[in-house]
Amino acid sequence: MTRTPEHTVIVAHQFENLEQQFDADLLGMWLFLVTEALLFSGAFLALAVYYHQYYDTFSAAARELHWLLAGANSVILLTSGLAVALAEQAADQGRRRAALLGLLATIALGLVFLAIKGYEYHSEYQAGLMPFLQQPFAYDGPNPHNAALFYNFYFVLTGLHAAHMIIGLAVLMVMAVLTWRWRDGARVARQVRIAGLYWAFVDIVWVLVYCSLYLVGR
Amino acid sequence: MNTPRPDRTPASATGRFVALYVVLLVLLAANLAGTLLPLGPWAIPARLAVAATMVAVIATTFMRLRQGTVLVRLVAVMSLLWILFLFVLTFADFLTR
Amino acid sequence: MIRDARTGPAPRHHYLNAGHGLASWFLTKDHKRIAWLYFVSITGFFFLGGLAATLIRLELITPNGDLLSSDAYNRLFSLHGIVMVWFFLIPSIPTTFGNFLLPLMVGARDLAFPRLNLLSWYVYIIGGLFTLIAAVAGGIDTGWTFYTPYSTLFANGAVLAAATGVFIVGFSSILTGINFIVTVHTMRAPGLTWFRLPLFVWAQYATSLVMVLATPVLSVTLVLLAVERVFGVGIFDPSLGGDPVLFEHLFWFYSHPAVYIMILPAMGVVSEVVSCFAHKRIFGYRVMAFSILAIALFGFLVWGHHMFVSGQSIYAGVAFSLLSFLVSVPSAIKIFNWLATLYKGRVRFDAPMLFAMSFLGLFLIGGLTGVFVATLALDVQMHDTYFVVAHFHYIMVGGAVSAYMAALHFWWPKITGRLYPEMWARVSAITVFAGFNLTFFPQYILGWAGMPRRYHAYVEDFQLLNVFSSAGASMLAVGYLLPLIYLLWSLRYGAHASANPWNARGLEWTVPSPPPEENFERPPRVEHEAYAYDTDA
Ligand code: HEM
Ligand SMILES: [Cu+2]
Repeated sequence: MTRTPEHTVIVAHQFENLEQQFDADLLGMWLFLVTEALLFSGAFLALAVYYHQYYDTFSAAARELHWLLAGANSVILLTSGLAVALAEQAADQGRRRAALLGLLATIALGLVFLAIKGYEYHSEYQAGLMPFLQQPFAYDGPNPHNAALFYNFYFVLTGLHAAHMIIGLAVLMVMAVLTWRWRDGARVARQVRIAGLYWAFVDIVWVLVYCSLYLVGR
Repeated sequence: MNTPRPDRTPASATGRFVALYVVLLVLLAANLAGTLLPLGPWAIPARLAVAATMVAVIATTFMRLRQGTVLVRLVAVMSLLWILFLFVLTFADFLTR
Repeated sequence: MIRDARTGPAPRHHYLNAGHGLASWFLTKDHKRIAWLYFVSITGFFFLGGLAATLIRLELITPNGDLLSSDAYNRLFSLHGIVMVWFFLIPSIPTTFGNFLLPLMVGARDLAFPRLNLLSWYVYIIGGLFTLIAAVAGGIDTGWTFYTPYSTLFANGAVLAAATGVFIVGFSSILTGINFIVTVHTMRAPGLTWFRLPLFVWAQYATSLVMVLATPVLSVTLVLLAVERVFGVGIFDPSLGGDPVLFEHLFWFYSHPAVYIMILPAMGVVSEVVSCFAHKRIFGYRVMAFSILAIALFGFLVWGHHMFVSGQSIYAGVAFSLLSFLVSVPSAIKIFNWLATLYKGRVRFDAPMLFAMSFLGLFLIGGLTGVFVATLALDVQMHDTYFVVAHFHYIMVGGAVSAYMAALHFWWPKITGRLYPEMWARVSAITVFAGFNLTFFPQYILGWAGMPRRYHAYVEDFQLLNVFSSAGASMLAVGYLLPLIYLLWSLRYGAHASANPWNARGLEWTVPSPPPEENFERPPRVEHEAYAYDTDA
């Protein structure tokens, strides 16, 4: 705590000092991410079990997905991960404009990702690869029943991920506002840092979603 | 109390972030390229291994696990361990049916 | 003379009179007041679940299904299970006594995240509302376990509302768990090292770990269930090649550890009460702490013992059976250490101690019969009979609820600043103990003889034992209603409690009863091990 003397910042009443508060916030966020990791792992487990049982059908079904488009989306999301990491660093060093820029870039990249994802969904809908909500299922590969299971997983996992992205985007927008206002630099830096953890986690989930849905079957 | 926080980012971190970002892109490209190789039974382990490496890179750099306190690292390891419990014991059933 | 040490003058300023009006309660961030919010809500759910149980026991007095249709009966036991498991027992000790005591015991002014704490109560209430809606909208007949494909494809009740309620309340557990873990790690008072923490704190810590590590898997399981039921996104649907046994794996990955969410806090309470009323340091403190952690850990490795006859592989069944035996080791160690603590102690039998003694006896029986049902070959016979029902009620009601009652009486003077009427409390403790055994011991015999669970009718040979059981249930009801009356009475007419009416050790007894809003005037410094009972004569 060299830049801001401690008496100028407000410490929540239950803590003795800022150090303690930051430790608590960081640990709290990490524990929250543990719960998120276990949440996704339940869905991944189910997917793995069915891959084990229906590998050939699943890999045939996986080939219908837009793997290159989603690969481009991976690049976009990884870039946003870099942007938020740089924003955290800038905030930490008191460079407000750079931090704001990093956050806005992250948000923009996240929105592009969602747009592309939406396009993917739309084209799968048109191709008749949405085997629920009484939609016609037009898949013409082997074992369409088991293949339907694959597409169910595709929509559930990517949907769950997209839901987390939307939450993450909302958090980042709040962070952008806080950075723009810059009331208490040290505090903003801590908040951005903690929000950034969440975004990095969303990145990690995507890496796994991409690998397990688009690549493992190829 | 005045010692610098162990997980504070040093000014030189920008270079490292960018370098590891490039590593991530290379890994992604490798995984895509891997689909063109006839890896046979090694295909799935290879894809998963590359993805796991990417996860490790993101966690250690973007999430700053490398500079994290012992406690935070312990928390990260704990989540892996519990995911392992879930997978190993469930597959103990499905692989022996 | 003891009376004199128990009573004290009424303190002027404390957390209860620090604010007035509804907002001072519903927007409070004080962990002590949030404990009250939970306290009132879980008591409501306890009596709701109890009402369902009463109707179940009434039906079972006679062999014919004459009072309730089989459908109504199914809906009642499902409601009973869901309410008691998720809306009473899982939150019970952590959200009330844990919330109230954890900051006091670690010497902090509050939990690490007070606002999150309040949020988790609101989340709990919203989850509860969904469950009530499900009940009013016709209830569900899947049992508390929501097994697919019945719950996704066939059941015609308000499955979605109930599952949503349980999903939401899971986040309340998660938030509480995170809050407790962070508090124990970062907010201990100077000098309060890990091995000076009271075992109650250790137990809350381990429970929180289980909450954080297990609950998310239930959440995702319920999400998968919901998308299958609502949108037809088959995940466990056998007609797509989905596997219902996979649902059971995911469900029990949470739900076996969940039974440790219920019992670990109870063990923490019993450690406090036993050492206080034996006036002795707890025997084998470190072993006790490590057993708590070991139980939390092993608890994650045994879930398959609920699936011995579900179609899982026989090899997995054997592995899960053997792993289950492992859990009994740390549990047995704890029992021995409590007994060793009592040995040569100056034991007093006030009401909290009576409840703690009930815990010991009933948990022992429940645990031993747990080993029966964990034995693969035996469970093929016992599964889905009343033997299992008796087993888990001995642990969850006989164990966990007794410990909850022990905690309620032990810390009542601290929480309210009033003494409760000791005589009535002892009557309640003894009534509950007797009523409990009368209710549930016959169920072991019934199950052994082959009476299946979850039916509203049974063959006539079983009637006598069922009548015993229903008679016991009415005793149990009296035993649980009594405290409701005399504790409420004591709020107004009870004598003012001194800071430390039990002559107990621990930081919570160093502050006035009830504690001031900020808990401690200045952060305490800890120089002793926990349970330093031998430091005075
Ligand atoms: C410590 C606290 C415990 C609690 C709260 C508890 C609770 C429960 C509950 C609720 C069930 C019934 C689930 C259902 O089917 O609806 C159950 C069943 C079972 N319990 Fe426990 N239990 C505990 C300890 C143990 C121990 C120590 C063991 C073994 C060493 C054990 C072994 C079993 C087995 C094998 C079953 C499944 C029996 C069957 O369905 O056939 N339990 N327990
Ligand atoms: Cu179990």
